[in-house]
Amino acid sequence: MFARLNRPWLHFLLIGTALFYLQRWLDPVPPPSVGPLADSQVESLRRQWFTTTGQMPAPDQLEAMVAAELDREMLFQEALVLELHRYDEVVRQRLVRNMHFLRLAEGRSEEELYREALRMELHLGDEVVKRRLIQIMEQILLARQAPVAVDEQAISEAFGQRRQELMRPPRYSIEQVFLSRERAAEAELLLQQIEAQDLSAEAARQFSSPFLPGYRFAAQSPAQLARNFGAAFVLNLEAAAPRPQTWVGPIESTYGSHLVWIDAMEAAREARLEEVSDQLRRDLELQYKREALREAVAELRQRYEVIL
Amino acid sequence: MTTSCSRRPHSRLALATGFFLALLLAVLLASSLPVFAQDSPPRDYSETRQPCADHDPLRQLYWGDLHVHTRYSLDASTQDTRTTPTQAYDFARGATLGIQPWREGVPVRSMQLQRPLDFAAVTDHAELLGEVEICTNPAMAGHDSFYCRAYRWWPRLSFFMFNTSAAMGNRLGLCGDDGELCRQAAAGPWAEMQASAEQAYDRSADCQFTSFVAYEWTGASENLGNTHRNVVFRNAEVPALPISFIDSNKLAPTLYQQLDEACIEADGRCDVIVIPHNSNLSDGYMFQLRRPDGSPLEREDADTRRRFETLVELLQHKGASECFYAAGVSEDELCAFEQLPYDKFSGKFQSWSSEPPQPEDGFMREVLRDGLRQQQAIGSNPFQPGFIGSTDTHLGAAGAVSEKPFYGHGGAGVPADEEVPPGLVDDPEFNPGGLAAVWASENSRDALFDAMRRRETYATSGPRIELRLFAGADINPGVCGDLDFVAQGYRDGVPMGGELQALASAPNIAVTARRDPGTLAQPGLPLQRLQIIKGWVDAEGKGHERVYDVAGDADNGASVDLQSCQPRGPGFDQLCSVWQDPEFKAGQLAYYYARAVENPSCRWSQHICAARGVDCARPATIDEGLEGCCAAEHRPQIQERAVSSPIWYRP
Repeated sequence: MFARLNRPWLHFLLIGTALFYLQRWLDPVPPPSVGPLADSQVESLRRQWFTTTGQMPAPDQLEAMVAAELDREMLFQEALVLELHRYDEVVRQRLVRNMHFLRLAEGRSEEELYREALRMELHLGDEVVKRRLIQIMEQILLARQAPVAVDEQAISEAFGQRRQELMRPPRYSIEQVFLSRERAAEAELLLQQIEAQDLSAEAARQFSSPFLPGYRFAAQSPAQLARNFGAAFVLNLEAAAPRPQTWVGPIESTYGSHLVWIDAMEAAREARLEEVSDQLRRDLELQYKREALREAVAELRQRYEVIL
Repeated sequence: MTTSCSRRPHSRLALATGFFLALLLAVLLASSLPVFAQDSPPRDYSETRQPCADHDPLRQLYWGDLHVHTRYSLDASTQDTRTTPTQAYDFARGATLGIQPWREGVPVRSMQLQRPLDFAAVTDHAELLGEVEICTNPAMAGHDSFYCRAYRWWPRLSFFMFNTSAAMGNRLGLCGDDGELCRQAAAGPWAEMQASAEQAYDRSADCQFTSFVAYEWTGASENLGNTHRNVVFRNAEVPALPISFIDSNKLAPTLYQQLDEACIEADGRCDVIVIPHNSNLSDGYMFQLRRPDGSPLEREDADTRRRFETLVELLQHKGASECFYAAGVSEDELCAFEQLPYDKFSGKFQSWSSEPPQPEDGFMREVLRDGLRQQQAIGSNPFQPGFIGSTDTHLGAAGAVSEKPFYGHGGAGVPADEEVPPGLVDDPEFNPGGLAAVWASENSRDALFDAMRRRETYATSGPRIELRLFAGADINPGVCGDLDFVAQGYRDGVPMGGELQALASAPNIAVTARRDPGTLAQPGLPLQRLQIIKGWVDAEGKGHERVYDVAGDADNGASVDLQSCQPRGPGFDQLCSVWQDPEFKAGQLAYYYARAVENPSCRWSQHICAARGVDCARPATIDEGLEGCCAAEHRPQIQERAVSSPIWYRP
């Protein structure tokens, strides 16, 4: 047994391996690094902030911007290591367009232009290419670290937290007699006449001016009423404190005056869970996706040396 | 206990009573049937959904945007648009949308519609490659292939393999022998587009919002004329993959053949229409009178074309395609509205590659006349589309058509990815686009799709002007004073998009428009006038057009103060007219459409110029990015409008 191990080539191999690991232990391969940003990049961030907000960024704001920019650099660098720029159509088209712009396209096929652009390393200095590669990296990270699945309990909790925001609007069922602007002066008297004669809404319609969307509107939310009458009408109607089975008016709108029969009203109410569960699920999915991406980027950052 | 009924003997009285009751039931049923049919028409949905509670046989007006790009479109992503299809639909329904530039993952700008839309379609470009999708999406067949593992984990080796493979002119092994797997991989974004549309679609009886599964076929002629078309499906039954420009061998007729095979003639209830857009930038190639091989169109070609292209997008970010205007060439000055200065989009970047626009470039008035000529020549009209407007937003901002503020196109023009442009937010020739107005009985996919197929639609440049058009020999000349204009219109005529056949005398054309009420923050403007545009072809094949003012007043004195952008002067809340063509010839093909025009207002660019205090006489007031305010071609004032689908007359 031992005789079999007593071979020079085996000793060579074992000693070589041991030396290899010893060297790595004594002189480890440094992690890839990103940063620091060049002064011009920091200045550019500062200028962008100023252009957008009209103020110079506070130190913590600038620090956060620098950190975000370094994350972008890291994702870009990782994408280049994975050679993603070689297999993406957006990058390809962008580089070909750049070659045209540089007037280097004469007599060359698209494939040749693309290869030449890569050889010239145009992809390293192009912001659009960079952005695209970062997007793909984000997709890869998300594919590796799938977001948490949304469950019924989370939906139920979100429903409880967002009750106010999810309120259902009131509903009005109304009929109307419309008076165009030139007939506005008739409105008060006409309403008195209708009420005195106890006319039904349908019977009163004979006094109306033509109104294109019609005369009867069932179970309309304020937003739906505003489509046909304008927002001012809705405000004026609500201000008139309407009650079911009564006439109100004249209510002014964009188009003229309206005598309104309130057939029925339904007050605003809280949404039922089944009405909004799809919306809640979608919002949670988006939120979980963002969180998963944030964690994945943080994890990737552990493999990099980030120099601020 | 046993029931006594079962043992009760039949009596004559019971028989007579039974007979009487049966008779009564039959009479009641018979008498109630017509009422039932009128009040609640049976609704044959092509999909599973609850019937809409809000259903009107006289049809209601729905507003939408059928041209919306998100992050999946190459040209949107290059401007750092991050909007997903789901977010685009949410925005259309009233949610806030964050847009570029981004700071620390947070959008600097955000948008929200003051008035949500009723329907929308995300139409990302179909021309996507699948290889990266395969290798980056664990769910894809091929994701764990040797090539993809190498691609993800051993890039140097994959570099060698990929390049060797490419050099030999082969697709990678991961694509399969015929490249099919990579084509399938493009299904990833396609699947997300479908899922987003499904999530947004309200299948409940509320019918609050309708989404359509759709995509853009991004075609071009050999000289780079635009032949882009949006492909819109009736329901969720769609082909497994979008048929791209490349898939259809770069030919629209091939697209139609493939859509027939993959959709119309396939099992199930797939159905589809195709909506060309930006024919103004097609250099005449969008509506060609010849087949791809150069031979003349035949009847079958024309039938196919008309069957698919039931609509055309008349107004959008990249200009208007209704009609052409140049002083001395044409008379209708309203046609100068949002007319682009080039005939191909490449002219924007390389002026040598395009010419100034010409009437034959693809402006619809001329195209419709070409259609009439084809009707004369081969007995079938290939170019008979109705009109819609949309945005072509590349921010995913469906229906964001306000002139103030305009956030830019987001796909071409001035990018906002690094910072908000300091002056004009986009190139001055772009505009905020328009809306699609659809007359449908309810807000369901089937009802809207049917309306788009029968062309009962119209385009607006943004404002929600209400416009109705009917034509028929029996329409009452006094219908404008009646309370049931619409009911009479349907009873006695055909609506916009319809056809009239063989009349002895001129039809009555009833048209009415109501101003956009706007919102409290941005009230709508009054109308200035209502017009009928007639196009026809004489016996020699020569084309003619005439514009008639049929209501309102072109000289109403209304104007806009260009310094404050405040409108001045009177206008009309509603306009209505019943008009007869004084030059009607019973034997002559013709089309008629309506145009409602608002009082003058500031264009989006002038809103910015005025707010920034630009005075072109004082150069010191022209800050960076505002040079366009004082350019010779700048148009500070516009007249917003609604343009109906035509009604065709065929002897």
